[in-house]
Amino acid sequence: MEPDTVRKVFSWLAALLLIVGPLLFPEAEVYLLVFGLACFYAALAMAWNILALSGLLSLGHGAFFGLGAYAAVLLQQKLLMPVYPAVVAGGMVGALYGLLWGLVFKKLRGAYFALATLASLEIPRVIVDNWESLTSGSMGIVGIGRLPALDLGILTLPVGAGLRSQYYFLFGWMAFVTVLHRQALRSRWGWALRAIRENEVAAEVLGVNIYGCRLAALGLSAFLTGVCGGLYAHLMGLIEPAMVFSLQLAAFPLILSFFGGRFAVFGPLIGALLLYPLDQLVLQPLLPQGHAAVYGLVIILTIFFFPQGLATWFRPQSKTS
Amino acid sequence: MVPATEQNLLELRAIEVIWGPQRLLRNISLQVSPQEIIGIIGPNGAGKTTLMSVISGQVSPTSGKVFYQGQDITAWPPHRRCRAGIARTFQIPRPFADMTAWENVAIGIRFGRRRQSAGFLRDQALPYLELVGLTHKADTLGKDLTLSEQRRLEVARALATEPQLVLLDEVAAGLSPKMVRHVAALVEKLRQQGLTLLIIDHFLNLTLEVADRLVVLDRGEKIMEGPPQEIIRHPEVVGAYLGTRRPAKGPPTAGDSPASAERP
Amino acid sequence: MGIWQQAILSGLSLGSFYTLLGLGFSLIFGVTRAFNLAHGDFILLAGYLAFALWHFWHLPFSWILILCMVSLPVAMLALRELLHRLPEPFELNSLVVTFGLAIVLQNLFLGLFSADYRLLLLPTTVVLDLPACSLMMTANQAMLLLGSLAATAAVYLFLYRTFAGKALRATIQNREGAALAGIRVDQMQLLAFGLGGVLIGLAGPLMAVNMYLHPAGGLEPTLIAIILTIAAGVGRTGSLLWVGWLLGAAESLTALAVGSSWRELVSALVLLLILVGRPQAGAKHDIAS
Repeated sequence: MEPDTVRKVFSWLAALLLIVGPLLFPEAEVYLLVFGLACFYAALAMAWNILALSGLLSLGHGAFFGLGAYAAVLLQQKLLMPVYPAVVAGGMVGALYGLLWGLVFKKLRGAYFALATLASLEIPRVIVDNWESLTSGSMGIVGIGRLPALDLGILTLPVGAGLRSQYYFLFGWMAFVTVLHRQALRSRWGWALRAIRENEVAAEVLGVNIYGCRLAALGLSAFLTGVCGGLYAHLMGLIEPAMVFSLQLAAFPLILSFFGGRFAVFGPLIGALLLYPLDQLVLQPLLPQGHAAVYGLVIILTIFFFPQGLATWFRPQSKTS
Repeated sequence: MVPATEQNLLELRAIEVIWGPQRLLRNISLQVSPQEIIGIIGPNGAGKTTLMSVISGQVSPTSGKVFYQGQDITAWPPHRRCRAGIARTFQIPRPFADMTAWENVAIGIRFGRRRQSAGFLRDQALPYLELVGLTHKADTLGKDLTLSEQRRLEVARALATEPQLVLLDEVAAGLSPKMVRHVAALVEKLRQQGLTLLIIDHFLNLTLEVADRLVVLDRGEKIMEGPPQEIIRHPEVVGAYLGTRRPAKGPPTAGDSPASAERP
Repeated sequence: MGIWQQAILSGLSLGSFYTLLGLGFSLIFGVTRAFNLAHGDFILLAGYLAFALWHFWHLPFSWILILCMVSLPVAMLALRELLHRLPEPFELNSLVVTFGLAIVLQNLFLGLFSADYRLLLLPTTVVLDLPACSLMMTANQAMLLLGSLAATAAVYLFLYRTFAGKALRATIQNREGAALAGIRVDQMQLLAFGLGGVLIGLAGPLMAVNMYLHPAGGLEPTLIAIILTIAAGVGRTGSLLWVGWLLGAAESLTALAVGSSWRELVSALVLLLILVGRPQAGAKHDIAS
């Protein structure tokens, strides 16, 4: 009883701090920026993990991210689309590329799937790099505006008005992706993914549509990652091929998910909210170049010493489900 | 083409499976009536498991057709066959390693023929575990079960999909005579409930008692089919099991039958 | 005409270097079945080591080569110890851990050498000049070609002519069978990692004089090594050379035909084709036994 209560109290306090904190310390700009981005990477990690829950590790999610970013920006610049619809459309472009993976990599598993995703990250990058008339090539696109106010009908969120409202927007985006991530674990579909992950052949003879469930996971994962890419373009104000089609963008979610616990609803989120601020607020000032080595170290230590991730420490030990 | 007859639950027509340079199955035809129990026997490498995989959908035949309840299911993926009522077990158990025994069964309940949408209820899984004597292991993880318990879990999981046709791959291998009697009783009970069973039984320790019909495979061919007592006396069957070229020479006696020779 | 011949020549020397990259990878993959995603970063490690020895201590290049070829096996044996202690599932964990290692190494390079492009500058002399067909080759290119080919030939002779080499090949082809035949598999693993380290120690300095070093530059050699290993088939040294030459020629000709910025697409597409077209042998063994 006691450890469980402590755990719950601790979790609620942490959640409360994340929600109320910015109101109490409105001046702490660095913290607002870092924790806002931590929420962003938490969403990215959960988006990646939705595919990983079906038993396939991707090293090529940077492709969805980059396609989402470029599609969102180009749709605004060339077709004058409004910002948020363009970002969603960018997500769909990512999802289309994801569905293409689903068709072409249908038979690939394990390391071979991971290598194929790594190779398919290069294709859109080289094309964007070379299609200079459309994308301005390796120079990238600069001067992308901040996110405008988001009109939800009943209320309007001034997203780009300041770091605080940006933080709340990213927190909300994280909460939305968390709900989908929870579905990928706890719903009927989530059980299908778990069965596929643990034994594909057994799952199919018990009536699980392995291809359909996996394709759904891949499509959703790619879509959310693409949306993250579109948001990123507006958060950073510029995009260039090497930045958005980067291996780091698959490395990051992989590491945060493994570290936090990739079979727990809040695992990737915990990983992101702990590791990213630690890196940015503590290590980066100490080691301006090369501080990101911590991510590599963390993933190696995770595999060796707590392969289930941190979330198992937060979880009650009595029952498994 | 003759249309599939309604009284057959399952019909295989001229199934051929060619895998690279190997011909795993050669012109196999088979008809199975509802509530029949059929034993599939034959030496190692005869193609027994391949035949089962053709029926459950893991292996697509190079040519030939599979009919189930009068429908051509040759192109159906495995999950669709499961939902239509075909279940199978694997000789080498494939448990969901990090799920408990009851969760393993619950997957079958939820995604099988009934496609139950209600929550994952442990209580619904327990009756299936009880059928195979695993109730006391309901909360043990799949990977922590012994090999024989994992085999029984395979059966419980298959039955949880509420099938009409059950394919059992070597369920009775390595079991004590007492346990074999338990399995035989379960098989009979299932038949009473209206199920049809196809049982691979290399050592003939189960199907000799319960099967209506035995099908003998050797090197991918169906060499014989008939009532168990007739089949095991047949010289060709003895030859296939003992490795002599068929047709076997010399009159075999009941004492030389593979059943008694290889029974543990 | 001359441009095409020059492209073939540079493809040949590039392809020979690729074979060198693939050789070390495939030896280690052969005995572990682990895809070492840090392979290219270990080559960069050797490259940066060579750069540092040249830049800070002004050592002659021959000494640099020897020092790299001695020190990299130590690093690879450390990697072997790490992989040896990995918990299950091995395939997935080895991929993730070597990926983590690649990130650590990249940031190490970034911290020590910054993100600038580095090149080890040797006084270049032209060793081959045929103005008639406008063919030219510098000493560096010649070193790249001859060094790679010599290393490939040496490994080939070792694997096919010596007792230890034959035992290593047997281990790569069938670990269980080799163990049953009395081969000490763990010693063969040490041998493969050590030999792989020597090859990486050679590849690094060659890369430092012929191509620019960059902290994120390890991915490309890794991908190329993976392509060669999968395309040639495990432990087939002879085929590695052919695949390396083909890939080098394909890249050079692509660069010539549509521009060097499209060159990177070649290896990615080739890898995809190999992976998707690979026969899925043995995958369904249990189902169709």
